Amino acid sequence: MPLSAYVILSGVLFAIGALGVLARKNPLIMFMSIELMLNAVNLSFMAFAHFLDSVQGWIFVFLTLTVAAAEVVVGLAIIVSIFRSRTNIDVDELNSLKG
Amino acid sequence: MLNLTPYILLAPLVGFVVLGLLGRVMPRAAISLVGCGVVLVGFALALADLLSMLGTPSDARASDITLWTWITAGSFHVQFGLLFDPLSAVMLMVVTGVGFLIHVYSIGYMEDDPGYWRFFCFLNFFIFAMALLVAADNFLFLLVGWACVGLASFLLIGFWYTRPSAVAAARKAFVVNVIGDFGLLIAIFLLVGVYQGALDYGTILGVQGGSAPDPTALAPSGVLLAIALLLFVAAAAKSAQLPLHVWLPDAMEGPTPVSALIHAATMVTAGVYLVARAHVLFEAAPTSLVVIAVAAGASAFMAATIACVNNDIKRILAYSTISQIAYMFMGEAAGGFSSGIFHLVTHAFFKALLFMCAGAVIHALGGEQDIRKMGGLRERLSGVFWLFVVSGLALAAIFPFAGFWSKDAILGAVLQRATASGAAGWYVLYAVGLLTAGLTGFYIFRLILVTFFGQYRGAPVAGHGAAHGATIGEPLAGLHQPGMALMAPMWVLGALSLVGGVVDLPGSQWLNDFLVTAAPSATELSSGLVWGSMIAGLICALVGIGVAWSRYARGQSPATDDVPASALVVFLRRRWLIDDLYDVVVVRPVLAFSRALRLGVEDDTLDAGSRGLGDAFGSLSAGLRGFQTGFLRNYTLTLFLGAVVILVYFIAVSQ
Amino acid sequence: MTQFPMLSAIIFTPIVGALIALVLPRRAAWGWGVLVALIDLALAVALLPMTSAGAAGYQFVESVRWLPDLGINYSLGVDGLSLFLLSLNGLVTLVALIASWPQAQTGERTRSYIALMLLLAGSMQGIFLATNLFLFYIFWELMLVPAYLVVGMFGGARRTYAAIKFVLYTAVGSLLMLVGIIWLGYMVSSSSATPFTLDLPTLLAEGVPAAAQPALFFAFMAAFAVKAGLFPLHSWAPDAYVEAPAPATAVIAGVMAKTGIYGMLRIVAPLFPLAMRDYFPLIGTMAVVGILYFALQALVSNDFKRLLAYVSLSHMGVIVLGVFALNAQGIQGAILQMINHGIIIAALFLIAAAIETRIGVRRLSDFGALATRLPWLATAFLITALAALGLPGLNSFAGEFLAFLGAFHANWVYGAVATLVVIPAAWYMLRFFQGVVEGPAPDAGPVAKALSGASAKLADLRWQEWLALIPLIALIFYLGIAPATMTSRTEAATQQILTTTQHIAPGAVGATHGG
Repeated sequence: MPLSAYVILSGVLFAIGALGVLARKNPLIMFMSIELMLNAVNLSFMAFAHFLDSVQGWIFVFLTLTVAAAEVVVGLAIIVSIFRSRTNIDVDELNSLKG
Repeated sequence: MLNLTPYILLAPLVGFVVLGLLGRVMPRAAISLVGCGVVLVGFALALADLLSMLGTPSDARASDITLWTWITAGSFHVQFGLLFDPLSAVMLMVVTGVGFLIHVYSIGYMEDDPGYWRFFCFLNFFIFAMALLVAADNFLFLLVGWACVGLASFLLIGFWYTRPSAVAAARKAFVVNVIGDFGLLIAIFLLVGVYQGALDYGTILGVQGGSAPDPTALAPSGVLLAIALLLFVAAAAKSAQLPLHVWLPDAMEGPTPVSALIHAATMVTAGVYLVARAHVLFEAAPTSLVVIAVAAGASAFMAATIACVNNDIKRILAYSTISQIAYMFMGEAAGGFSSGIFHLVTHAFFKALLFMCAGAVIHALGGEQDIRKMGGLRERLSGVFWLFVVSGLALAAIFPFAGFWSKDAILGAVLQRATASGAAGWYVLYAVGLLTAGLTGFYIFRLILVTFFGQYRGAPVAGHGAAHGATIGEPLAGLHQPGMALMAPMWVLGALSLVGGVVDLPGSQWLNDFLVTAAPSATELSSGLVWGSMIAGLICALVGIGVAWSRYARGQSPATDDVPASALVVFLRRRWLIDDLYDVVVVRPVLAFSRALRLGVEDDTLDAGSRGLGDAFGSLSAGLRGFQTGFLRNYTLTLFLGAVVILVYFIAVSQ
Repeated sequence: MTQFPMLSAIIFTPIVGALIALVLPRRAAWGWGVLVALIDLALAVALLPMTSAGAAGYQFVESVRWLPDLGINYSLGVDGLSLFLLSLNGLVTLVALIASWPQAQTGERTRSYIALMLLLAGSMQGIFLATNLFLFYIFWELMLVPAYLVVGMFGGARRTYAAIKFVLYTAVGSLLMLVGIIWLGYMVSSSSATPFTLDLPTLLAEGVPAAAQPALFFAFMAAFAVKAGLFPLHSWAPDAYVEAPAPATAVIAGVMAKTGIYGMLRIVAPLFPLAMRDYFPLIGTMAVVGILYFALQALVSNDFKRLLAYVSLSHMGVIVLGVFALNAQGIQGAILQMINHGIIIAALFLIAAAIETRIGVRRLSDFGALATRLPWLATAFLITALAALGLPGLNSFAGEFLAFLGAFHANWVYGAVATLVVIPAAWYMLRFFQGVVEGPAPDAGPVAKALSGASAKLADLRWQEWLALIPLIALIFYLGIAPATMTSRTEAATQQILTTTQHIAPGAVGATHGG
């Protein structure tokens, strides 16, 4: 397969993820969308690493995976604690940080 | 030559420290013993020094002791040193001698005061500071002593510190004296420039055997004139000369011994000492001597006229002091520096005595100071009366009392200057001197006659113990007779007022010769003029006394203030309006200006400005708050839009 | 380094002490704070005999490589300029902590208060000892934190306003200085062969190009002039001094304001002498106007803490004028006066605190006749007030005399006009002294109430107050009678500043008659 196929797939996945973050109200779904975006980027890293025969892309993928894992842990913890205190996790209702 | 000067200073300092720390718990007898004892020790040491000096050839009569280095900075350096030469010897004798007598007098005068220890503590401090002033061997420590006597004066004027008038008078005295300190400071700054960082008398005035370097060779005449005039500003402030005399009459709020010691005999004459000490600098700028002559002539006349209408026994004497010190300056301005010092010495005797007599009267009447409420005290207080007359005659310069010789020496110096220069101005000054001599005779005998002659006009005097039950018909039954502590020092001073002139009689000129290395005298007049001047002075004084006799011989009371008086008298009573002028021209405008600055600059510009700057940022932030909606998806959208913008930018750049 | 790191010990004793204070039992905090301050003072005083008096240059140098690529090193050193400031800081902190006794008894947050005061002291010791500009800057900013918190947490009614104003004023100045520091390092390394460094001795040796001096001068002066309260950049000071608890004000006005002067002497004078000479008219005018302006403000202040704030600022102007005279007398006077001013202002604020704790108000118009009940307090007050108004024979006179003398010989107009301040100074100080302790007792109000009853509250000086005031008063006398003990040890540092100045900028001190 040519590199363009990987890049297009990555771009499509990224767009889907971005649309998901923007359009959905449930934070869990938004998290999944973010994961999708991260993995879209990972895909393009791997593709370029493969075609350029460079190890740097792989390194970044691992870095991204680690950060994503950490982010999910923190994010889910926040969501759980919000749910406990408010019983509603619709992001449009969560505007107490309004300036 | 013996030089015990450091110990002369140390003695009163020890007294000050001991009384300051322990005075509160010491018994009165111990306080009196320490307070007077240390001054007596100082006097004994000064006397020992002086006797040893008299046994030394006249060209080796200066001894300088350097104690420690006070400060160094670059080429500027000052050492704390004490100089004992004929001039400081005379001054130290006066300070410790008259000072001791007044300490003894205070034992009697202050006997009932709860602040007894504090009084002696402050008095000892004053003696220390005054001794430092006259014994310092450089201008900087002169300034230290200068300011410390001002402090002592402040403390003692405000001794009864819960009286508003005393508090105000003390502050006024201190602030006016600081004006003088300012003059001295700037003069010192200039001297440091001229003399390459040195401030000691040896370098500048050449007092230690060596002759002084000629200042005119070292600095332009403008600088020298500035130095001399600034020194005179200091002298005028300390010695209460026009226009800085306003504090002295108010200073009479202090206890009477203070008025006698500080505001008559010693501190106020420090300016005369300064001019004599620094005569090299004044002679190098002859214009300054003219300025001194004008200020002195004006002060002598002004103060004497005010004394003629005042009715406060102590204030009359205060104005008299201004007038007499002005005489000393007149003599110095005419080149007779030693005659200025001569009058300083005799004045210390008779003016201290006048104040002590006044104090005895005030003490006897339980605090009354208004002469209109006195009268008829001659028989009750006969000792005080006779001493008052002796000192009054000395003040009025009647032959053969001490004041006669010294005032004659001054008028002689002025006349000599007038005949030598031929300038009309010096003749005018001489005439002012004579006129003031007449006024002096008038006001002092007005005071004596009104106080001691005629009938007693005051309220009955409340006395001690048994005297409380005095019969109504005897208003003076409760009179406090002065005790030994009051009278003994007065008799001593009475004797000195009578014969004090012997130190410098026209024929012998002992003091003159003694001071010749430190304070030169004017050339002597031709003998015809000497006699003429003496007689002229005497006649003027006698005329003044005669006028006083004709008006007050039966002890008539002067008119009270509410009786309509001529514009002239009102002008004199308002003290030539000078106090009012200060209030209108200086005090009020400065306060108003400061308040305007507080409102206009401090609050409305600087504080409001910084608040305004803060508010500006505040409203900017308020505008930016709109972006912070709190909706997560808004933020996300903004984030993506930002990413898109960056992306578009890079694509655009790459093409 | 085999030698005991004396200077680090001086800096970190109070900082570590501050951390420990936070975890101690509340009742032990005050004693601990006093102990730590005492140790720090002892270390600083121990330095006095250990340093050689006549030598110029840094002694007890400590240097640890930190981020050498960025020119940042942990380097410390002490010389005649900083020597006495260390002791002053130790002493003022100690007496301020001793005098905080009433606060320590009633306050809820004693531990934080003690910790902040110690941290403030430690950071100021760091400023006085740092010989690397970046280290200097770190301590400079570190100092702001405890100062801000002390004002903001423990101050009076308007403490928030005062604290924020204080931080904003000083932060703007310090940020400009940070820019200046980086730019200075860059300018020096690009104009010479040395690699980028912020070590002060190296910068001094290389010199700063003339063209770069004015901008750098203003960047640094922004920080130092604000800290020293130079007119018209002083607006933070009266508010902060009034609102802060009086012992803290003693430290802020007595020592912290000196860091600004210290910066001028340590950094501005040797590095930017050309700019300093060229802008003497500007800074000199600001100083002279300030000296008189603050004196007049003191004259019409009714709140006596505010009055003292202006007194302090007026005196700071004298010190600045001495520094900018750039001659031996001016700089010696400035160094001497930094110490004297610290002692006097600390004593005055402690006395103000003693009065305020007894009566509860600060309006001069409410007061009178306190001397009848509090004679020892009145005596201590009188001595300090006299020192503050520059009575010859007490310490302030020596310093002010030299500073005025230096200014007079640098430019006699500035010197003479500035010296005029002695007249309003006597006026405002006596107005304050007499207004509080003398005069008739007021008819009504808190003072009348305190004077009338035999209330225990109106006791004369307590032992903590004695302990705090006695060392200050002893120094007021000692440094007035024998200031040469200090000036002989600051002479070498002064000459070094002057030779650097003359070396880089010939003619900069040409106008000194006496210098």
